[in-house]
Amino acid sequence: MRTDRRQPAVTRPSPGGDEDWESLGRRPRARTNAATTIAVTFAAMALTALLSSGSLVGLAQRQEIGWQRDIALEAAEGLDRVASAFGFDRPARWIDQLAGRDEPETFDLDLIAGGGRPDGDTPAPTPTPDADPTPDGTTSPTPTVGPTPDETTSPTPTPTATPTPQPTPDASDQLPVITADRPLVLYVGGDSMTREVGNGVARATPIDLVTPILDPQVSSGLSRPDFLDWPQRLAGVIVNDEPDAFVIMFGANDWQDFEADGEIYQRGTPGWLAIYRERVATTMDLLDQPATAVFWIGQPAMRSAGLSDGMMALNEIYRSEAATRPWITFIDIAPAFAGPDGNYSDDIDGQRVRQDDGIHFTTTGADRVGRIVWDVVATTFAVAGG
Amino acid sequence: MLFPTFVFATFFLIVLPVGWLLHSRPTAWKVFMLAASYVFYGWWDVRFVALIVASTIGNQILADLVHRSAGRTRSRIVTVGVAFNLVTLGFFKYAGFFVDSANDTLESLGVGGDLPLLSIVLPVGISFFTFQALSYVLDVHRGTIEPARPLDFAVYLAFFPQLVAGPIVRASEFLPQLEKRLNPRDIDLTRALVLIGAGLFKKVVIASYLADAIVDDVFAFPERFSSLEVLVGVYAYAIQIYADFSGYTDIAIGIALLLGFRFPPNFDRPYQAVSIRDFWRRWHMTLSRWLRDYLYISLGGNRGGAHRRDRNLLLTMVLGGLWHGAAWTFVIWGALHGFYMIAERHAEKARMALGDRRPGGSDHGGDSGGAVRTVAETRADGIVAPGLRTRILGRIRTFHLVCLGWIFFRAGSFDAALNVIERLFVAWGDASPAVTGILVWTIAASLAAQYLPRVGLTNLQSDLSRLPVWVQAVGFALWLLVIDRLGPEGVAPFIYFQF
Repeated sequence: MRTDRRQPAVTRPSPGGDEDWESLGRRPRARTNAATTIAVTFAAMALTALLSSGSLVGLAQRQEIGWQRDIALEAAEGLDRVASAFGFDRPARWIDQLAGRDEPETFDLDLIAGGGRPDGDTPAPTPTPDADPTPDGTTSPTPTVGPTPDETTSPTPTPTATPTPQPTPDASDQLPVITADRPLVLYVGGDSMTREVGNGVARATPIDLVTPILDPQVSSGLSRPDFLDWPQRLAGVIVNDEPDAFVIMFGANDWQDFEADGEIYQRGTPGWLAIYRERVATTMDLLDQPATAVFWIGQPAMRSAGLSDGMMALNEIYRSEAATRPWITFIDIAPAFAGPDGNYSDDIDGQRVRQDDGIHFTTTGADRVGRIVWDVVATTFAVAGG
Repeated sequence: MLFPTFVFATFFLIVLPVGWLLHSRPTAWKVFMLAASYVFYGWWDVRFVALIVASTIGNQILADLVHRSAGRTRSRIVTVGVAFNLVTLGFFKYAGFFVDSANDTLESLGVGGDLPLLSIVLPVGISFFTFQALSYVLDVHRGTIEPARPLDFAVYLAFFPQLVAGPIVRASEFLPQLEKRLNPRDIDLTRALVLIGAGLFKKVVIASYLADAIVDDVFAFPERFSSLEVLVGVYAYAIQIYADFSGYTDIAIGIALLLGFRFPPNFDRPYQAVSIRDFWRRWHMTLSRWLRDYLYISLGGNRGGAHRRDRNLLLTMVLGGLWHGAAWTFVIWGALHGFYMIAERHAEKARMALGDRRPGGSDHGGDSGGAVRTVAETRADGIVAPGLRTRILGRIRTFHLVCLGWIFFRAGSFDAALNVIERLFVAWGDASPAVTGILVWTIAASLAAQYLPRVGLTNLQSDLSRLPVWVQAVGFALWLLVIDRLGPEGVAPFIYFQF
């Protein structure tokens, strides 16, 4: 490779700018006046908005619920309609095709919940004729194990003791024995909290016995399916990755208002809590798969008192919904992160376990969660030599 | 506000036309730009604005006092000025670190470590504007510049393009541009669009992809990766941090150009450096020049013999490491680079003593009959430049020494860094599913891009600038679309905001 002769091996940066860059060129660059610069900037931004109107719709959807979002969404969707009408959305589609970015497939959740697989590995369960229609108008199939449908879908179940799971005669529902030849495929998914938590789980689990699949999705959760539809995402994981175990953690992003059936629900109100509970139930039922265990991690206290109270309310929902479903184990990590007074603490045992934002875990904190999770997983599955 | 966001785009579409409308009324322009910059900064946290205003007032008073005094009084005021800035920076950035370290020390002495730990919000960009303020006070002290008008100084310190992540523009570079009338007929539009487009691509596409594909996981749990995967992960991080940081400062320089300001370049293809010394002339150039002129020279620089010089070099690099963050890993990273440079100097001196006038030894041109022999070039300082083979070896050596440093820079702790290094040696031959074709291709292409000749890049820009402006606008929009489609959803955090 020939090196450029005119360039000494070591160049001194000239203070004050890049005149030496200028002097190298064949001829100086053409200059533009302010009016043209402003026009070009505006034209380029307007054209970009038309070309990526789909992304702008997504951006508008991600805003917090409120009138600003309504306006932004209205404007973005209007722009999107105009852009599609004139074919401005085509370049984006071409790029997606070239880059191999396909539209994610959509799954029939009812078919997958309870162990049905669309690829015909196992026969789909036949819905019982008398299944109660769930509020969204679908019927829930009879779970392989567990409660009757009306228990799963009632928005406010009366607290009951966890029913003792009936052992199923179906041999395929036995949890596999973990060996080095057949390592446990362990999926960890949820919001940005699961970035650190997933890393902690990957560090805490034996390398030869556990193969983690980490799927942290920033700013996501169960409150805003308009931004990311977790049940659909998990259906894809069930079908494509077939994990033996799921570690799920939601909530840190979920303490916000949301829209359902055209109505706005304020966070923490009875209506909000009922719908959120329904979504937790739907997600949990979806994860009822043969020979699979689910570990649902609760939220720790947060530095902000308001957020902390919210997390405790959500924990109650996770705990009570998990209690009626034998395939779900609720893991309460709050005690492991409570300070001496039982409230939030940056430090546990003299080590920093939470990041500056008072929400996410540090590496040390994540390792703590990882160890707790592995302890529970290792007692749920039979570990060879363990 | 982060650059690659909708909020910033909206903000800029207001600031750009208003700024140029006010170009003939300097005071109005400055007031407007100062207000806009405070909005930009306050968008993170309103309290940050109070901090930068306090820093502005304090440093302006100091600069005036320094300018008006002489002799020992002057030296004392300068000392106070430096201390004022470092204490502010230290309080926000290092208080926790020192308390933690002191606690550890007390703990190990068996005295129990219970110093109270403050939870302090780290204001973004404080490292950058504090260094700018220091350059202002020290330049006034050295007589390079006169104290500016308070409004001018306030604009210099808060000017939003470089406020949160550099480049570190000096008062002597910025203030003269502020005094000149802005010329509305002399905007370097094409270069600005190229810089913004390239910067966004580097930051949003390349850096995000590499972090996601391998870097984050390799550094989070190296034990689960083969040696080859860890090695590729380290190379990928070298590219990621370059793409992320140089990308962001490219955007900053481009945005400043659109507003009529020229910033010094901050990166010059650092991975083609032939030595560590060369690397620091190409990597974060505004910081290394700052460290050289205000820290190394203040410590005594090359004066006082080889030992003193080595000490000053090591100290400068260690403090430069600490500037990046309050952690021992940054100190080690800085110390490593200090030792590299000391070793380089001694090696060069030893070769000189052996009568070889060429740093890096002689060049024998290989077995190709001298076809690849390069004519030695004479550098400005009279030293004969090294030959081709020496340069290639120097580049490979330098890149790997830099990568070793990056391991400490990226790892969360000393132990984590050692885990990564250990993993580089103990798992050769294991399967490496994480090393995919597209990943290797991305790293290779990014490294190859470091060797693009400067003259070609300059000519390309000059050719582009001669295209009709509407072609440039459409091309830029299509480029943004590509970035949007290839980038991740949402905005990835910017590495250098921790600093």
